[in-house]
Amino acid sequence: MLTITTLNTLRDRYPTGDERDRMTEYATSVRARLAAVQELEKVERDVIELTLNRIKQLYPNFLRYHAVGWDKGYRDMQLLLQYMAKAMYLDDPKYYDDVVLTWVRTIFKSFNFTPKFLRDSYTVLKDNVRAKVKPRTYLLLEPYLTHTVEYLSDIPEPVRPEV
Amino acid sequence: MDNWFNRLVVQSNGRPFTLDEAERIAEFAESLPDRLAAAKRLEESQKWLAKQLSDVVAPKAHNWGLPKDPFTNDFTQTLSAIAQAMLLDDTAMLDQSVIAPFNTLAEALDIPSDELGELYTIAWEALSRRLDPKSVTLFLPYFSYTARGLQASDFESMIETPMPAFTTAALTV
Repeated sequence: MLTITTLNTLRDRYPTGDERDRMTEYATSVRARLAAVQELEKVERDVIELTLNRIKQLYPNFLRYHAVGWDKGYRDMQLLLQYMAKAMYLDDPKYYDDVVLTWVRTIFKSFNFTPKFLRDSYTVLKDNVRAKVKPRTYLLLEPYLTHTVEYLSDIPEPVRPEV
Repeated sequence: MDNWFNRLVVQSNGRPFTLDEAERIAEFAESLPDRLAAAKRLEESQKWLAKQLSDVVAPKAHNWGLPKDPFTNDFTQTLSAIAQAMLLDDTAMLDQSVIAPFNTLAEALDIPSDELGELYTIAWEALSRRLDPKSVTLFLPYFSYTARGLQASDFESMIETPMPAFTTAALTV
């Protein structure tokens, strides 16, 4: 369900009752959403570093295949966290998929990442976000974190796995 | 669609929102309940307004060689475009959604644009007596902008814009 973006589609019609309800609900949550974005920004570095440290333990051979894999991993997780924060702020999951997630999944496939590697990595990221932010913030981010795990791991097994 | 919100989202591509951008969105979002209520009241007034305007439109439509009812319908349907601009807090959206199409119509049928603008002024005078004060405050800039836009003389760039479907009833009957 979209909120502000819905307004772009109106022109020849008025908002439906459902759309009005959804936008009114969004209006009441927007300050909490902004606070959640700001809280996530503050813990972003910790969350990503903790996550990468854990993935290094789980996948010790990763660097054999990807020489700068951890640097790129940091960049990718930062990108995804920032975009999921924006999408959560706008209450617009489609924005997240369209602007970044679909593109990132394509890149990951080309690197011969396995579905399990992506599921493990982004589940660890999700767990670390949960550990580092307030429950109210996690509640707002959880659908995006869960969606990230499911969406990224929904790829075929590569012929030659490189993880 | 060009409006401040879409521009802001595109401009922030590749980075988080700045605090100013986030605040702009938050302030707008907090104004949405009032904007939605005003749009609902306009929607509820649309049939009433069509009836009110019927007598005003009849002689004008006759002078322009247009059938009265389709033109009134086209005209009142543009109210949803005005509501959309108000909901998105962006008067400039009316350039493309209302002013340019009606100027194209005026150009094609040799109708004085300022008379179309006058219709919005008349519509607003009727509506402002029916709507609640908060809705009047929210809608006033949008009706004024539309009326002024149609009454202004320099529309050369707008006339090039293709005519949307809502004008076809007036043209084909």
